[in-house]
Amino acid sequence: MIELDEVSVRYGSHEAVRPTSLRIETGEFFTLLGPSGCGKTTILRAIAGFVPVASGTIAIDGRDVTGIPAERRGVGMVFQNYALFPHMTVAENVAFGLKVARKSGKDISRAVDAVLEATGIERHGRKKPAELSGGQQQRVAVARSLVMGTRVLLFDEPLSNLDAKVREDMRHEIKRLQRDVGFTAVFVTHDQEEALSMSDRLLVINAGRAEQSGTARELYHSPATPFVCQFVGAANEIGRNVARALGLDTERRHFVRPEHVTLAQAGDPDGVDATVADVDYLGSMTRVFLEALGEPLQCQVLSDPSVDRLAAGMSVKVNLSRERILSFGGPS
Amino acid sequence: MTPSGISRIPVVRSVLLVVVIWCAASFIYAPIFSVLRFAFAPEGDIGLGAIGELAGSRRVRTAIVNTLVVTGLSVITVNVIGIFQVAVLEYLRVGGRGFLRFAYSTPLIFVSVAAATGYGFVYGQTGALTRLLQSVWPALPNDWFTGTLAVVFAHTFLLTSFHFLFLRAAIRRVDYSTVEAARGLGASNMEAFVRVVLPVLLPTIFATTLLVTYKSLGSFAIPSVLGGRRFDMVTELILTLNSLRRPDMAAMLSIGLGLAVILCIAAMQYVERRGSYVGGSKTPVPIERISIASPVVNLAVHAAAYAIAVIQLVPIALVVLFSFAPARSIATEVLPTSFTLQNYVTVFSQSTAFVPLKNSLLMGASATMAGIMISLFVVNLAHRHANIGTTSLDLSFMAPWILPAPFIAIGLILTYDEPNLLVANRVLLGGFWILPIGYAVVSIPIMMRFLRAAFFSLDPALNEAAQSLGAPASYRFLRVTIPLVLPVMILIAAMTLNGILSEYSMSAFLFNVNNKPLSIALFEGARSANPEQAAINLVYISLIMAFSLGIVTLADRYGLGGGK
Repeated sequence: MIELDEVSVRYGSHEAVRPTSLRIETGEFFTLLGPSGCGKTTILRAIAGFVPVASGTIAIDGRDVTGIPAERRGVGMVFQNYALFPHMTVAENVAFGLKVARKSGKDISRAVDAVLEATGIERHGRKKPAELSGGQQQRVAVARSLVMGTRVLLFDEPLSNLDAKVREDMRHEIKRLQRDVGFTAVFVTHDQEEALSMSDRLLVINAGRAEQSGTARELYHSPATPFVCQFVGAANEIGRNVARALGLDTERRHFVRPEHVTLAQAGDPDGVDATVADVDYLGSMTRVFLEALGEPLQCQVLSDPSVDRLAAGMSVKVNLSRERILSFGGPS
Repeated sequence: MTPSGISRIPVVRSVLLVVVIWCAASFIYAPIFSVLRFAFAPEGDIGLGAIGELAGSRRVRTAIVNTLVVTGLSVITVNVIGIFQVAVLEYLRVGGRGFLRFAYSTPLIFVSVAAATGYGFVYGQTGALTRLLQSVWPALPNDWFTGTLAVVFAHTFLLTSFHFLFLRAAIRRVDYSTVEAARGLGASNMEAFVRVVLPVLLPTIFATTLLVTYKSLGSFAIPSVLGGRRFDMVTELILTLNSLRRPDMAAMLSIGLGLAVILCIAAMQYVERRGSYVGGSKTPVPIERISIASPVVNLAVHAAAYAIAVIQLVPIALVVLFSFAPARSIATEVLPTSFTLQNYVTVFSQSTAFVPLKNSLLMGASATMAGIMISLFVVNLAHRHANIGTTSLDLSFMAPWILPAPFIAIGLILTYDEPNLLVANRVLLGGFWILPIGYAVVSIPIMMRFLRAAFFSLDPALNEAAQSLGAPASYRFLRVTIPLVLPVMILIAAMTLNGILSEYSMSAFLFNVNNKPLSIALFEGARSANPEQAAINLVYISLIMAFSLGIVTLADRYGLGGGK
């Protein structure tokens, strides 16, 4: 279990992470999600011991590690670029930590073989990192930490250097390893799809501040702040004219997901008048950009022949599911 | 590494720190202080008497004028030849580009006193080309190749290495799509070159001009070997003044030279900072060579390109050929008619011939080893702990970069020509180690620049990855950092050793009977009328060139400044 108690990090006068508390359960896949520069990697590096905290404490399995140097925290890290030692073979990379710990040659060899097999790279032990694909390098980086018996593995945007197909495969691969081995994973990403698909729980961070933590469904369906609402999944902020037409409190901010905006029949009395501004065909889905009462609005609908007929300039009516509207600020 | 080995590291590091600080104090600060003291207060009272005496000396004034004239002319001629060479290699479609590239790259391996001696051998009084020219024009005097003409001529064809390295790299960075865009907007090839390519190259041309100025101001071996007995430039005069026991005047003149060099370096850094145009294109198109439309111009360009190649290759070819010729043929034949390995056998078997080579190798290896150790320690310290102390140490060892070699040499002479507490009350002048110390001091800045670049190019995540795997700092340094910078270290060491083999400026000031290096033997041989000595010189030059060729090839392969 990892516990952060009011942890803050400063770079000079800049507060990169505001006091943040967090509890990550043993064996959990936990993701730190946020835009670039929000402080998510800084939190990860603070857990690893690479950046000192300005205040607060970090405990791993009940042990306060706040002042302990990185090499003695027993926390593994998979870097964005994997940070494989280019002058060593795959097997030497994996054996590095065991050699530091002065294990016997026989133990090292046995452990390295086992972890290479578990991560599916047993055929590449004698290769140098440069001879491997991105996905294989990723596995070596994971194997290098796992071989140490590490119970906590930190991932710093490890999928960002992979192409779409490999990234998809590696998501499942990392999840499978995490499930099989049972380590606690802390994963940093700015990719919401990645975060939602992999995580048991997430923490959304914005400008160094924790906005909300919870499961993917909680964050998507019950966002605590407008930022979470807009960052986790797509959301339309409903303009004042549409809000007034729907009878919503215009002092509050209202959002609706594009999939909760539907195209209505021409004579629908509850429908809001809109004009099609543009249409994006996405295969199974179609995204329609609208202008409703002079305000932008997006809807996402299943592609079908009726939708295919839509074109810029056409007048339509749209329905916004009242029960799906997410409202923030002021009295509810 | 054993656990006790790890625990000893901080102690070792502290000891090394003390040694490094002592090196800086003894061999950088103390010599600088000595030069300033002798220049401004030779008798204890501060004054500017040395300036007055320098100004009153006709020989000094002539040397300064010679230096300025040679520098001014060299800047023009080197730029003309250098820019033309780059245009031929990279912008114009000229046949035999591979051969021309080889010929134009020779200033990288034919340097300093070796090149000066080679030019003297070919163009000098008994030179093959002199005899060839006299067969066509009998009135040509034997000593036609001397003075300003000889020095500027040698500079012109030996200092183009900056253009070969830097201007070629700059023209390759030009995005050809900008040329195509200009042509699409109605510009001719020439207009596109003048309005688009040249402005992008101008900062590099200016920077190479400053490098030529810097080199020419401090030129030593070339005027010493080719200038003749009545021709002095400033560096030679500093040596003369020192040997005439006027250290105050020598020190003051070396300060003047140092200020001129510092001015050049400051200007270069200003140009470096301000003068780079970074293209915004994400997919730059490599520069394409253009055909010369006019047959007459095309012929003239080809003729000039090959004439320059011949001028650069002939001295090297003759030096190598005659190094395999019997000594008696050297002063008598234009081209050797018979060949032998006897000259090489003599160099490696005769102690008087072998000693300078052995001395240079030994002193070069010692200076290189010491320089690498100090540079590695200082750069690593400054890289890991950036603070005032480490920055000061770093800057201390970089100081010789902005000081000309004669300045450092005079400083070492003035500091260690009597017992000095800094070196346990010993006199270093006249001993073996004074010269390798000088070599190390002037070599360290370039070593540090390359090592610093290597350290900064290291991915910090590698160190952190090792740390997260439990490796302590010393283990990370030895097992991760050192193996990754090792190729750079080996190359720098080889390049330094190569430079020291033909180093003349420091050698001329600090050599003595105990450590006579190769460059001094070459210089002495160049002034000797004995053909046996000339043959030995040719072997020395050939060996230096062979070694340099190996280093340049290695550096080119590993991307340390070479260029195809």
